[in-house]
Amino acid sequence: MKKRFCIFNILIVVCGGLLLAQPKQNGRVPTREKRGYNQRIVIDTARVRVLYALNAKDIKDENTYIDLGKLEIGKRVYKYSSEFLYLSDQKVIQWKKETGHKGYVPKTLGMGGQKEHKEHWSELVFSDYFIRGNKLTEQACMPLWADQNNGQYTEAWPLMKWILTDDFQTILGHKCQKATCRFRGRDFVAWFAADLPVKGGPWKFGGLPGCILKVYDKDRLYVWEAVAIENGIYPISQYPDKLYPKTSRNRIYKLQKRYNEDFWEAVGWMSIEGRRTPKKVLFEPLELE
Amino acid sequence: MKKIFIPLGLFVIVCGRLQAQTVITGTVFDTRGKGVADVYVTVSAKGGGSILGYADTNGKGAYRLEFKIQSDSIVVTVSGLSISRQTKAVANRTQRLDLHVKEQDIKLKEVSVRAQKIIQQGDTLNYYVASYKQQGDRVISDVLKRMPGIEVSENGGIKFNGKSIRKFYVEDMDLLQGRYGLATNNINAQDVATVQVLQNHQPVKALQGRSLTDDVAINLKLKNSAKGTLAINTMLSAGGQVSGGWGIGSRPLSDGTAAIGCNPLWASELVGMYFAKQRQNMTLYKGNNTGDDVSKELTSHYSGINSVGLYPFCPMDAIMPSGSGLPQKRYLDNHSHILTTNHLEKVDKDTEMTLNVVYHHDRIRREGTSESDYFLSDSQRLLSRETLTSLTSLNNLSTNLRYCRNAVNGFTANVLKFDGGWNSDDVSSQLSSGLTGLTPVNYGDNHVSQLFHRPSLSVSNTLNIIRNFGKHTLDLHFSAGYAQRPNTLTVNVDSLQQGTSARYNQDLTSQNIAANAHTNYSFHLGAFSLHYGVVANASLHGIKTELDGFVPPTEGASLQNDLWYNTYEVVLSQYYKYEQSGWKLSLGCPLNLYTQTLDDRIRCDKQTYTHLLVSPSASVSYERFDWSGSINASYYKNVGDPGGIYSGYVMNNYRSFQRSYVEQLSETDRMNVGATLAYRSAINATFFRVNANYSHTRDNQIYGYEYRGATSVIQAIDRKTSSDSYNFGFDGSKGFDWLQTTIRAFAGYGYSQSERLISKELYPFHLRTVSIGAGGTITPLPWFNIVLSSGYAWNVSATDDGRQDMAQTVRTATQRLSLNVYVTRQITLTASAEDNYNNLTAKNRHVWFGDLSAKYKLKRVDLELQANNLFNQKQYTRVNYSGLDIYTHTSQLRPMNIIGTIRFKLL
Repeated sequence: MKKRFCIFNILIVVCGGLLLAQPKQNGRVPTREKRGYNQRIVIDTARVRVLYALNAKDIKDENTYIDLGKLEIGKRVYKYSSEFLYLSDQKVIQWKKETGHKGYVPKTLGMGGQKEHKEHWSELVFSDYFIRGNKLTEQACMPLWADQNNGQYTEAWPLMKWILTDDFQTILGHKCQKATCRFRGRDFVAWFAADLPVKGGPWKFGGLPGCILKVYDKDRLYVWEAVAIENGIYPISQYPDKLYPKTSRNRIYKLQKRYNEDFWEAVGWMSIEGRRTPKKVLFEPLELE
Repeated sequence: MKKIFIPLGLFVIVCGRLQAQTVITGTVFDTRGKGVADVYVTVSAKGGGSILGYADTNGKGAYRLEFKIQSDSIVVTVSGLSISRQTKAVANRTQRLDLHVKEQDIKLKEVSVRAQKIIQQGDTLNYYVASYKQQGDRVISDVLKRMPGIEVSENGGIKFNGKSIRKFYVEDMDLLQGRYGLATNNINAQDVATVQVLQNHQPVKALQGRSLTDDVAINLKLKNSAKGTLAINTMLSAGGQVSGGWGIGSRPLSDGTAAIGCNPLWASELVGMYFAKQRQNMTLYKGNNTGDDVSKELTSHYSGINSVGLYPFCPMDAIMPSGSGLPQKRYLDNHSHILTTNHLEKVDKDTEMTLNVVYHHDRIRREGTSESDYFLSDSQRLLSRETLTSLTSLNNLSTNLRYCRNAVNGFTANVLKFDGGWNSDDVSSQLSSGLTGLTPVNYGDNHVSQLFHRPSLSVSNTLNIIRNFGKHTLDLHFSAGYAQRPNTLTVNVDSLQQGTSARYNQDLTSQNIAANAHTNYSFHLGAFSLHYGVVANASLHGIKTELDGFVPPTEGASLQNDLWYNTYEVVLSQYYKYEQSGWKLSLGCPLNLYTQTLDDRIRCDKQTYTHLLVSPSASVSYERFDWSGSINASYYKNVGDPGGIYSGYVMNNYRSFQRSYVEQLSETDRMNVGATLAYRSAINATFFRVNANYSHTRDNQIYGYEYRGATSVIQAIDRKTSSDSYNFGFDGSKGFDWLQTTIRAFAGYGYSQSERLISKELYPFHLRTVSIGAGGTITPLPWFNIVLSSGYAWNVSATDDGRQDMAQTVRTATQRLSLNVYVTRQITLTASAEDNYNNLTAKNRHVWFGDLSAKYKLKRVDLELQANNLFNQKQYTRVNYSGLDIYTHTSQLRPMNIIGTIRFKLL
């Protein structure tokens, strides 16, 4: 009986951890106009890009991803952003062109990934990360009704102090070496391919002598795994600076944390009919400090 | 205490020495001696794989590596996206190490596990090209052949799960109007992101959601990098073969045993493509004498695209060396040139103009021997052996101008077509023939020359308008055209037997004027839809023939025809459909008032025939998840055709003279019943289809054969005949993620019963055919791919009451094995072997072919070296059945040859 009780407790803790871990389940998708979805400015051109699945339940099925991220590798700039969001924007632009619609447009159109989270926001999907030399800039787009707080900041890159190990695994046909680091309160494991001479990876990860094809924190709350390497001509674009005023990382971090933890409270939502605020969902941020 | 400190100190010193930090500093220089910034330098133990330390270069290319390692020597590597990777083994000591690198843009190998290879979205299946593309694949048809469920035939036609596709798009636009071989054979595989199979495809927007179809279409979705950019590819080939001599231009006709082709071998291509949102263009030239039939790319695979059918009557032909059934590069002796331009301009989002112009010039030489074994009776057969050499000259021009407005509120399309050809056949042959059996007869040897001029011309225009009015749809269609064939067949027969030499001359002027108009009206009532239409068809055939040199079997029989044979149809079409929860029921019963007039100006005979024809059809189909099944039945009656109304003799060829008029027009009744069960699963990449068919045909006339030596005289006889045929078929394919494997299999069984009238005696006979085959592709190692296919067929026919020992079983088999070795990412080696077997030839029942090729792929240039027919096979014999007769064709082949090819990507 005692044994069963222990197992039950462990299950609760583990499952609770998983529930807690889910990114993209709180805030609501922001409107397109304030994000500047159709005002992007081309700043470089990538000849190669790496696509990453974020928290895939089945790596072969896009519909089980939280997001499909992409690292575009230009001559001067690396950019990490959401491919799902980009494709959705392209569909809207096409739809507007075909229908001649002048008014507001749907917030998402054919957004990929897990169905239940199509209308949810996460900074990992709605922020773009640019790497120029040894600087990283995040253009952060906040969720619905909070998008007046959109902003951007710049910090040094890479900040991860990696420790190389002797472990290897093969990802996408590439032999990858293991490296570990502690970054902003979490322990991360990365697998990089020395034969892919790219110093980047998903999100803010980078600085290893080869492209990071898989990276996760030790609790595996956040897992990125490369699913494709593609050659082509991919314009690297960014939202106009006027929509993303300069601010500090600290401010952006606090806002994002708040919107993730309790979106409704943070945006001051109140039902006219007196409905109760939707239940607060526990959240475990990627950066703890 | 002191004792303890001494060993500890020693240990620290030793360890310190073993783990002493090494510092390597230096600069990375490019070929101009300039420092290279933003690359990184790594260090690893010699022989070990793991990186132990790394450093970036600064703006001046300088770096500093600090690491601790026990090894005596180390490996220092410098990497970056803009430089070639450089590795250097050096001693493990603190030192300065400058590295020199070449500037080079590194291209990473594309790879994807992102999705299932196939994703289903509603009626659309998306095949990810990257998941099926292999290293040796150059154009998209190479990849299409690997995709489960998709079948690409020899002539470039595409089927999905056994069904021919009805539309082919590139980026949702139909640039090529059915000549999609141009796209599949020229669009680079690396430029295509996804192949979409559109099931239940309704191309007319105004009918979407109103008129459901079970048609299939294919759409190529290009990568962004291939859109809106002009791509120009070119190819040059040169080579030689071990025999056949040297020469440019035409060669004299020989004795039918000369080698195919002559030196030097050459081929060239220039292909320009542009695919943008507002316009698409594909312009290309291709030419060769290497046996590559580039005209196959010009084949239109759309059947009956609403244009009026123009078929000027021409029953004549020259007897030619028959094809071998092998891939054409083995036996085609050609000088081919094709030039085509195709342009699509989008005027607005719903309107587009398309122009397609195609020119084909060819000079085709064939050599071979044909042996015919004709059934005369259960105890006698007619054997003939003819050694032939032919030269065919082709000049064909085809243009197609199309305007199309395809909007949700209406559809308008107008197509203007022009086709012209100036073609001829020049054949020289040696014929020997004789009877075998109870009373053998030798008819001796003849030298025969045939010259067939067969120019042709046709022009047509088709207009189609569809409009919706609420729940009602109106479809108006009008098409009209004119075609002409002024043809002449001249034959000289020189016989060693006195008095049997002959000279025949057959002139024919055939015209066809045709017009078709139809209007459809549809009404939708929930799950029911009712479709009514009126169709008016008129087809006027003017036929003038004159034959010289033939002595008819009956005195006074005419050798001339001068007649107009016209048909007029008014059809009231009615279709009823019910579609609900996966069920589709349809019932059609068109009523056709069919009038024919015959104005025979030789016999001064005018006749008018009118019939009411009823052609009912019904089908039931059901679709649930991945399964679908259907049953259909139809009946139709056909009355008269231009081939059955001429009373004067016409030379079909110099061994067959025919007249086909009897007092009544021919009447053919046909009943057809079929059933199909199909399964297609994108998730499992599994596709299969099982079908069964039965058809019964009844005619009021039969063609009677009389033989005069090797010459047959054929007359239509007023006597009823019937035939039955049963067919069962299976084909399926399955793709596996495991080792990139795809397997395919097919099987077929056919049984038919028919009758033949020979020398006024009726012979009922039956024919059985069985065919099975399987194949597939597997990649057991990342650098090794195997493609295997195998097929077997059995044919046997016999008279129902005759002796079975006269029946010969023809067995044929083909096995092909191809091995691809990817030596590096740039180099692909391919070795192929092929065995062709038949049981009826006296020798060489197994004919083996072997080919080798090596491909070297650079950034903008592809090099290829091919060695074909390594076993230097010179002849190939094919045996086939036609009813009770057996035909054996021996073709001369292209000897062993080597061809070097270079392909550039100019833009």
